Amino acid sequence: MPATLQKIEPLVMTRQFEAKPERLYAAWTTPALFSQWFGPPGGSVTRCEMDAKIGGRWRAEVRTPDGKEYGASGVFKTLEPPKRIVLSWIWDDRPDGAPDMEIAITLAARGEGTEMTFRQTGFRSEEQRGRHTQGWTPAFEKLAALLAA
Amino acid sequence: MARSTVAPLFEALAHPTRLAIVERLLREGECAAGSLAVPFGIALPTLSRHLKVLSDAGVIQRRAEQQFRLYRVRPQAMRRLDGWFTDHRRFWNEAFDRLDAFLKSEKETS
Repeated sequence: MPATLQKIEPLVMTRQFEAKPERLYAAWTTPALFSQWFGPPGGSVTRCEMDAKIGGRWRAEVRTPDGKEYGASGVFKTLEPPKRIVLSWIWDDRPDGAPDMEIAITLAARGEGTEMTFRQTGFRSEEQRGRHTQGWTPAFEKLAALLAA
Repeated sequence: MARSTVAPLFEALAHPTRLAIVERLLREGECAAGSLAVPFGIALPTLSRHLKVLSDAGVIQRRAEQQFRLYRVRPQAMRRLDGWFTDHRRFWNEAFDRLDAFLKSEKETS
């Protein structure tokens, strides 16, 4: 593994939601619900499958408003309802030899709501990490809207 | 086809927001209430009212998925509407055929 790989900081995003941890946990691990918020604004999830058990595979495919398609898949590594989810994240178009990314979601009850800490690792450049920040930010807004109803 | 079966469908669809909701559901397949509120920029209580009108008329159906409400278009409603248009298209096609025949016969006799 090249030394540069270890220098990229993880992407950490913290968000407050007006919903119980159970609903957030469901929104991350149920295909019909994950499909509601994942992807860019105006985009849609065209396929989503999740075998939500440790070692179970997941896969999601997205179509953007301008017709581009992309997908990602991985494996559930940790599932502790409704507190913690760890999964590997592999973009379909990742370069050969690039390591798996990993996402860890921690859900903590805060009064009537939940604080979600999202942590993604495995970036190969600051630029790539920045693109992910730009990608997750509107997705988490869609997640907030889903949880509001 | 009895008129009463399609009138409630047309009535429920005769609103720009409700029509847009149905078009979105037809495109996306299934949507949660929260996800529907955003693109139309409407408050949740208003959205809930529109969804209730569409549900009561039988245009859409609701199911629960782990404390979330997911909506989709009822295929039976779409079939009924499609049947109504097909019946009336047939009427017009036959009428136009008769008109065509009439114009031809007029031409021949004149």
